Amino acid sequence: MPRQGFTRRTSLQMLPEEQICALHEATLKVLAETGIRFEESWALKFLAQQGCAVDEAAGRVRFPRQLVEGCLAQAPKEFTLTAPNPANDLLLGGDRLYYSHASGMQTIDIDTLEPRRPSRGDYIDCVRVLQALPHLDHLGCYPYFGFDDMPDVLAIPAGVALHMQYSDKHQMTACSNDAELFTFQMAQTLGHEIVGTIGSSPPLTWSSGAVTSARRIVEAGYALTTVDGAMMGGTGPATVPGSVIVSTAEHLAMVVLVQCLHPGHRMLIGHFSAPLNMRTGSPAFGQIGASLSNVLFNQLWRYYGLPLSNGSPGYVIAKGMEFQAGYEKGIAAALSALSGANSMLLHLGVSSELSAHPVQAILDDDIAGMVGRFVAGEEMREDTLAVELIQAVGPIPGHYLSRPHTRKWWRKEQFIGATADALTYPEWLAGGKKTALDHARAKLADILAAPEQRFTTPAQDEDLERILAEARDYFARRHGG
Amino acid sequence: MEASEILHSLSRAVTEYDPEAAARWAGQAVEQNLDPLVALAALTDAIRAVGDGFACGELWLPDLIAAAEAMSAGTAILEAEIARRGVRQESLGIVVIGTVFGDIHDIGKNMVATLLRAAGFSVHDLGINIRAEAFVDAVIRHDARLLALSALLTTTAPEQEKVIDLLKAAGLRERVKVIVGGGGITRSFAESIGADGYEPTAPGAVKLAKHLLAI
Repeated sequence: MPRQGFTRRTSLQMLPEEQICALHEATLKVLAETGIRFEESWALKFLAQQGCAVDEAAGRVRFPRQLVEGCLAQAPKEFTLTAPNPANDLLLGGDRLYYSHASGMQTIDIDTLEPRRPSRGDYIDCVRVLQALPHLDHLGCYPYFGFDDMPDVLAIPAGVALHMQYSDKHQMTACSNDAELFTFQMAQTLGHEIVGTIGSSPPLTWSSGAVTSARRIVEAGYALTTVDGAMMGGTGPATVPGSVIVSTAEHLAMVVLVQCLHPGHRMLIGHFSAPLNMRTGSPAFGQIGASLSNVLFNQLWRYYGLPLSNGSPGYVIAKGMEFQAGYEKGIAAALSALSGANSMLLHLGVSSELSAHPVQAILDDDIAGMVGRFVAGEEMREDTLAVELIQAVGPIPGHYLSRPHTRKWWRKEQFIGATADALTYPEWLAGGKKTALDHARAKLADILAAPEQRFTTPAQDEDLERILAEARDYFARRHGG
Repeated sequence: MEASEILHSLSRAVTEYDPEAAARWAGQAVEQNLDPLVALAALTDAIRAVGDGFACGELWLPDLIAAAEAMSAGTAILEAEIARRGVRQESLGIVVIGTVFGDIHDIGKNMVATLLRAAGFSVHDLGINIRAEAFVDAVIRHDARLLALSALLTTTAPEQEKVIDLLKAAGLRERVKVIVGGGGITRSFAESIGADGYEPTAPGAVKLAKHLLAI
C-alpha cells in the first residue's frame, strides 16, 4: 500500500477546455517553428533520427506535432515509486497529492534571522524532522546546498547519503555536475529507488549537463523529473499563458527525447516558475503570479495526464518564519493542490532559495494538512448526510456531542494542526502567550529529543563512505585539486 | 456472576461511551445485591480516568461528554438503590449546576459538571435555561455547598447576579459558595456581582471548587 497522501475530490480550473486546447496548439507551434535548443550533439543526432528537424550548427530541434503527441501518449499517467520502507511508497498521478520540501543554500538563526552555513549536525537534524513530519511524504533535493567544510561539489552525494541513513521515505535527487554518477551508485548499492531531477535552462534550452543526466537516469531505470524555471518577464514572457507555453515546450521536448530513448519511461513534470521581481531581478516567489502560473500549468498538464509537481509553493520572499511566510505558502499551496499538483514542494524554505529551517518545515506541515484536508473535499453518503441522526437529536435540548457519530467523524472532518494555538484566551495568557513559532520550536525539540533512528546498517554506511570517497577523488581530479 | 466482573463492566461502559451497557450493568449490580456505593465508585473511577485523559489532551470533548452520559445512565439506577437502602453517599461536596435563564448553551456547563463528578463531587445538573428561583430551590433541596452558574452570552450574564440576589434574599448566601463561568463572563464581572469565584476553563473550575470548599 502506498502512502495515503491526500485524494483530491474538488478541483480548480482556470480556463474552459477549448482554451486549454488553444494553449496546447500554441505550444506545438512553438515546438514546430521555433524549436528547442539542445546543447548536446548526441541528442541532436538522436532526435533527427526520430523525425525532428535539426539544425546542428544552431543546436536547434524542431518537433513535429505527431511525434510530440505520440510521445505524450506513451508516458505513463500513473506510476509507483518505491521507498526504502514500503509504507512510504508513492503512487504518483491521478488525483493523489503528496508533499515534499524546498531547499536553501544555508540555514537561518531563528532569533536573529541571520543565515549561516549549516553543520553536518544541522543537516541530520533537518532530515530527522522531515522523516518525522506526518504530511512530508517524500524527500526532495538537499535540504541545504552543503554543510560544514564539505566541498559544494559533493553536497548532492553527501546529502543523498544522509537521507538514506536518517530517513526511510522516498527521495528525489538533483542530477547536476555528474553527481548522479555517485548518487545512483549509492542507490543501487543499497537497493533503493531514487528519482533523478534535471532542470531546463529557459528560455527553450536544455543544457548539455541536463541532457546527459537525462540519459543516465533513463539508463539507470529511475523515474525522471523535469523541472522548468521561467521567470516571467525575464526568461519567459511576462504574461502567464506565454510563460506556461515556454515551460511546457521545454518539458515536451524532453518528453520526446526520453520516450524515444525508452518508451513508457516514468516522468514527473515539475513546474517552478515565478514572476521576475522588476526591482531586484530575483524571482518573486510567494506572489500571486507564481500561483497563476501553477494553476494554468497544472490545468494544461492534467489535460496531458502526466503526473506533475509544483515547486514554487515551498519558496517565499518572506525573510522570517512569520505572517508573510504563512500567507505566501498557504495561498500557493491551496491553489496548487486544488489545480492538480500530484506533488508539491512546500516545507522548509525561508527567504527564497537562500535559507531553509526545520522549524519552518514544522509550521508548513500544518499548512500541508489543512490544504490536504480541504482538497479531499466531502463525500455524500448516508452517514455523512446524517439525516437519521439529525432526526434522533432533534431541536434543543438535543445535541450531538455525545453521539457515536460525532466520535467517529469529527477527527476525520476537522484538521488539528500541531502549531496553531487553540487555547482559550485566558489559558493562552496563563500559558505564556505562546505563538505558532513557539509551538513549532517546542515540537522541534521533541522530535530531536527522541532516540535517533538510523535506517542503514554499518556495512551500508561503509559502502556510502566508500562511494563518497570515490566522488571526492573524482571531483578533485576534475578540478585539479 | 463475579462482583469484580460487574464492576469492571461498569467501568468499561463509561470508558467505551456506552450508556445502554452502563444501565444494564448497574441493573445487574442491583440485582446481584452489590453495594451500590462500590458500584458507584467504579463509575466515578472510570469518569475520573476519562477526565484525566481530557485534561492531558489525549481525549476530546465528544469523549468526555459521551462518557458522562454513560455514567449518568448507570448512576441513575445506582442512586435510586442508594436512596432505597437509605445509605449515606460520601462525596467531596454537593454541587448544583446549570445554565441561567435565557441561555441554552450547555457544552461548557456539561464539561464542568463531568469534571466535578470525576473529581468526586455529587453534582445535580439542572440543565439549561434555568430560572433564578429554580436554582435557589435546588440549593435548598439538595443542601448544596456550591452553586455553579453558566452563561455564554453577555445578554444573559446578568441572570447570574439575579440568582445571587435571590440567594441573599432567601438568607442562603452564607451557606453556599457561588462560582460563575461561561464565554460571556470575565473576572471583573464576577467580582462585580459578588460571586465567590470565576474560572474560564472546565479543569480550572474543579480546582476552584476544591479551593473554595477548602478540600
